[in-house]
Amino acid sequence: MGLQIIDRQGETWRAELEGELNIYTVAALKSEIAAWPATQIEIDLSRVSDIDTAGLQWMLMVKRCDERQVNFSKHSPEVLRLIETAQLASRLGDPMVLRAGDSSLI
Amino acid sequence: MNLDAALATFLDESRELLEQMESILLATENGEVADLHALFRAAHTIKGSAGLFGLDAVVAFTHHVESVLDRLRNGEIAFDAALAGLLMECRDHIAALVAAATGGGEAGDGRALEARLAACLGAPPAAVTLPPGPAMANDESTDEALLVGASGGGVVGGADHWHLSLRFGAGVLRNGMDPLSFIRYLASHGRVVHLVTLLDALPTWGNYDPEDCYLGFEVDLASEASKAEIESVFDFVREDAHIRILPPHSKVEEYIALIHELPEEDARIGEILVAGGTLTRHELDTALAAQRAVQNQPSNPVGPPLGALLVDSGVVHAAVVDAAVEKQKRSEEKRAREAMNVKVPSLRLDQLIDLVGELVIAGAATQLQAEQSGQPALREAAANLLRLVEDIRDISLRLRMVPVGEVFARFPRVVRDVAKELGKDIALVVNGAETELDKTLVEKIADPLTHMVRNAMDHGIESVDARLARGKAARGTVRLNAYHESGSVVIEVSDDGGGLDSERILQKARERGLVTPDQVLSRDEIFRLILAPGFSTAAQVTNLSGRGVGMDVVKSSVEAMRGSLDIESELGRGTTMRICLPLTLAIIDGFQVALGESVFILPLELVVECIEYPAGTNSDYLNLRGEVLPLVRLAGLLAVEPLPETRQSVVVVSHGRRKAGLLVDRLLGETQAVIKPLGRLFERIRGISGYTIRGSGEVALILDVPAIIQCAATATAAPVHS
Repeated sequence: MGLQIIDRQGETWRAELEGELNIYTVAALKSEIAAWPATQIEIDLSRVSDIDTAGLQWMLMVKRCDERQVNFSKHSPEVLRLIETAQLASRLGDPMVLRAGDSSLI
Repeated sequence: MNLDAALATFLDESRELLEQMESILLATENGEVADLHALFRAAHTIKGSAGLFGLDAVVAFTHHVESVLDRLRNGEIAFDAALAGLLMECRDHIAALVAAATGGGEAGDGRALEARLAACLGAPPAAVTLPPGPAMANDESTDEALLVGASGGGVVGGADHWHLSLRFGAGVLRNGMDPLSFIRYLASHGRVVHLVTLLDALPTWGNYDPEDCYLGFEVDLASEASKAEIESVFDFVREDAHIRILPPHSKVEEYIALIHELPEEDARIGEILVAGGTLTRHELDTALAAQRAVQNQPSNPVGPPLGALLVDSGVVHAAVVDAAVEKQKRSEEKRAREAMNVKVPSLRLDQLIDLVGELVIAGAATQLQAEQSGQPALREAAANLLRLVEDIRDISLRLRMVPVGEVFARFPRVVRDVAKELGKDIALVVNGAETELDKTLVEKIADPLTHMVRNAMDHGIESVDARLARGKAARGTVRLNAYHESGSVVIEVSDDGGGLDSERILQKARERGLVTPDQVLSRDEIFRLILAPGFSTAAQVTNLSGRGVGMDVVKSSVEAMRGSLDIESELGRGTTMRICLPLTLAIIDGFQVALGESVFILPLELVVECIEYPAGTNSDYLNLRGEVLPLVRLAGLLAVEPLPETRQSVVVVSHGRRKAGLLVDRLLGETQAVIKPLGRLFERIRGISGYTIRGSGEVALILDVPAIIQCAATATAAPVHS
């Protein structure tokens, strides 16, 4: 569970987030990612099982306020659903793979 | 949208959470590391939900528990066995409070527990204060009311959808609310035409508190719902958020007032309204210009009076709306789970099964007619139909299958409590909890199993001293094991205790006159004596068992489910009680056999093979490739006149670990049989478990194979001398 670093190349890190991305985990995630010395981070979201408003807010904050470049990839269906609900796909700006039949707004 | 429904959901949820707390606490007693976060979360959610329903007693008490758990998870206090015990008691008290608050019984006084909790915190109980109600933290926005657009005079503009401006207080996330789930829930009242998430309030990274909510939403909703219905979506956050709802075709002034009222820049909100089609650009521009003109007049420095009007009438409206409660506050987690499962009242499932039963009979009749008609096309169609009916039958029966773990889940607690009461050290090991069983059986098996587990703990497992003296580990083990075996479900309750003393059982049975002094019994039969009514070998009567009521009740309830009960025991090593149950109660694949003119049905799952009966033999035994099986002459047993000069066959059946051969006149092949219970008059007949209607409309009796095997085994294993 949580953030797992899967690859480090200099200042470019790749990590995978597993499990919950919600009010219960955001505080820990904030401090964890803040402690990383990397400038380029890619976070794989394919194993995120649960996300809520707090989690989405975390994604926004990480993208917006952090001094480094953070990209999210392989959004899990739960994450995609929430991003679509909040209409934030373009705001987050990460490439996302939409699934067939997932195109309804909410 | 009524309180009862929501309350029922709350009850369900609390029960789940309380069970979760229980299992975590039990796990810690077995030396596992406690998931303190999960524990805290459970208590926190119960408190939050109880607050929503105004169940103050629950909130007040749970708050104390939560405080302790909070300190625990932060590592400020150490977790030990005593605290686990205390928390377990607290959990029980919360359960009692929830039950009492919702009209199910009374809760005791929790003050003693509160005092003990306070002692853990190192503070007197009075020092623990309680924040009121659902708005737990961050009260800066509680005075903000729900504002709803009103209709005064003015130009009617806007689009035919609702406009909602949602600004959530910083504390909503912490209070267990999820703004986006409200928005998702909105979709149940209409279609979200346009939505903008406002990020203006997002702080800098340094000031970012991940558990605060910074987001706002502007939503356009096309909906036929009433204002009250839309408002009710936000009932839970009303006190903790700033919600404005403008109905379709509101006056342009109202939109403008809204624009001014919102914390973001006017132009920004204006653009959003235009983008959503709520206002046209022209309307926006003229209105903004007009508004500015009014503001610039020195006589009216405070701003447009329209806004004030809106506030006034809005507040009145909001107050009228009762706190109608809805279940949308469910966390995302629960939502995902619900999406995968559908709750169906079991009554409806039963109706379905009944109808499928009728369908099976009708299908069999159709096929019979088709066979007799001799038309190949019709036969093929009927065969197709029958195959589909079989599939439907299998699937609908599977709907009723639930894991036996539902019953097993209660045992960790039972074992813990009983072990404490008896002063023994007993561990419970559960295997095969995922084994599936018909729902009705699962419900019926719970009580017998509880009794067997208690029995195993009380009679089976010896006291610690006795165990040590025998060179065993001090800690006894009770095992629950479930698995599938040839069309049956087997549930075993075993212990590693003293085992059954056949000498003592026999002696006791003779004393009670259950057995005549010169009767010779096999080991198996002696063990079965403990199933007799009024039989107990316990030297002492405890309040758990030993009164001799029980095992006979267990036996009869297992038999009522068409199951059987076996006992295996080794003196000094332990006892295993094995319940063998049919997979389902309603419909079976049957094997038809004929005796004379009558047709009987055997459950196909129990049939092992069919062999020819060697003519001329006349024994009660059958030699099946070296294995000796009892041979039951069904015609004799059922008093049917056998057909003369037929070539008879033997059907080999097995149930549990026993096998027997049944001698029949003819074999008629497979069929589907819908089991109909026998009427009261016939239900005591041994060897018959029900009847079914064949395709031809005739009635066929279903043979109770376990009972017949039992009867054969008894007759052959120990001939009774008198």
